[in-house]
Amino acid sequence: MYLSVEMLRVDSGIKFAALAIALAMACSVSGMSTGFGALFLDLKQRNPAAIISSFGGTLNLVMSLGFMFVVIVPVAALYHLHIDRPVSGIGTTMT
Amino acid sequence: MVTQTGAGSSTQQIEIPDDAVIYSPMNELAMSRLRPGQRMRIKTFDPITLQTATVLVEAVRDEDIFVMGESHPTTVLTMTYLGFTMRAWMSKQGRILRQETLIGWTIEATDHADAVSLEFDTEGMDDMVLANPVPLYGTVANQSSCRAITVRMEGFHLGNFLSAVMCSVGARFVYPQLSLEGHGFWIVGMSPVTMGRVLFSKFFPRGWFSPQLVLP
Repeated sequence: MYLSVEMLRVDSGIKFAALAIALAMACSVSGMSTGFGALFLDLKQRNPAAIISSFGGTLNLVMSLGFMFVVIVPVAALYHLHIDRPVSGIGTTMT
Repeated sequence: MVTQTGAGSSTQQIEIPDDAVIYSPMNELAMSRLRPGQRMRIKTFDPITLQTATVLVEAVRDEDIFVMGESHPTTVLTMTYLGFTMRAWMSKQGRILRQETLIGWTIEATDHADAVSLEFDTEGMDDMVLANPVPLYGTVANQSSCRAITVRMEGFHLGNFLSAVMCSVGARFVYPQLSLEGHGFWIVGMSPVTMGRVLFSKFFPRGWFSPQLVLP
């Protein structure tokens, strides 16, 4: 993510916001996976692949994707609103 | 006239008759003095057909129009050119304040401030042409011979890709951690630690792996 925002040469505020959001999302998804793993405990399976493909694993994946969608879309919309006006006018590089 | 295309260039000789007027302030002066009912003919050169053509200008009536925030007394002129008739509103000073065009547009005079006061911030740009396009940074060498400008993408936002990575890591490595205790899970349950600490011990060793993947 750092490499991405650095190459895009975005403003420092947006850069740190993107990094903070990525960090928060990574921790949140990991925490959510831990919680779902505890909720849908399957002690009989020894194979991790089988545990993942169970109902809880699928639900965890869907919820993770939903969480990503809920977090990314508002941030992307705000970023678009932020960058839309200067791009239509003068002074901002459109990338 | 030299026409350059991808296939080559062609040279065409165009003769402009002596009586054809391309531009003359005398025409404007003469039109500004037209009164309703009077008409005049102007022989001009058509750059599209490359032929001379006659424009019939006729003053129709006097009319007050409201442009640039105030009312102006004008003379309505009809200009007949190649079978098409357009109307123009000329002020007493000889300035066209409003004009209908062949393609259906009506052009109206405006002052400098309104011309550049577009919806977006022009940041001091006085030239409307410069204010409209996507800004170009750097210098274009030999602008007269420049045929194309290449846009180079210097970065790509990896948000969606990183989201997929986070989901995969969360699902593959973190989710099954508790279940992998298997039949020995009772030992964890009987141990003198809280459930929160057990969950954190499962979250932390694998959970920090996701930020490490994502942040760089």
